[in-house]
Amino acid sequence: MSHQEKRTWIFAGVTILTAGYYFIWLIIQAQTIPFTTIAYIPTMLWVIAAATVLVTLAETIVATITPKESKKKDQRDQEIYQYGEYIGHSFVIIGAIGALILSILKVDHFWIANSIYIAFVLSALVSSMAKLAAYRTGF
Amino acid sequence: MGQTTKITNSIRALRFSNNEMTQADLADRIGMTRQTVIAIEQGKYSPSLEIAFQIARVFKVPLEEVFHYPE
Repeated sequence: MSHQEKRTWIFAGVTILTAGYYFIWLIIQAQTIPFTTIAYIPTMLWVIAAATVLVTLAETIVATITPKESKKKDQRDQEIYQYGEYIGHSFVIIGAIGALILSILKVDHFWIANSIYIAFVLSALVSSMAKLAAYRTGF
Repeated sequence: MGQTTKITNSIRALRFSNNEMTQADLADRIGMTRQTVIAIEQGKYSPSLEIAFQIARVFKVPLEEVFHYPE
């Protein structure tokens, strides 16, 4: 497995872990209070920060364990990266359009912020899946 | 996992006829990762023309002896 593929696995894993934690936490909170009254901002920011730290930490550990290949990234890696990002990018646009519509409709900021967050999470997951599929089945 | 391109190649045979060159050796000589050489050999990745020429140059043969495209 190339280092870039390992990085993609790390990114996908951390995204599932942190976003999963956040959404489960939201659902638990919503059992007792309405969604729009949940103090989601600190938790969302902590989850985003934790995801960044976890990805950096995991990548550093993997790069330390496999130093020889850790810096190697070739044309195929580059092409797979661009292909995955291109596919995932559409979800960012969908999220932005969704947030724009919600803003125009003057919907509570809870839904706007969370729709953007969901779009980022979906973008990250879809682009990672596309990259991993390209690595595994061919590109 | 099947082949994703019509282009076939003789890289594996050429490696063996060149002192059983390893995939890692070939990867080093063309500046790619071993995983990419494996993907090219298995027909799961079509390299750029530049990489294709580099591979042919490593084996000191014309491009057509390395890569083949069916009629």
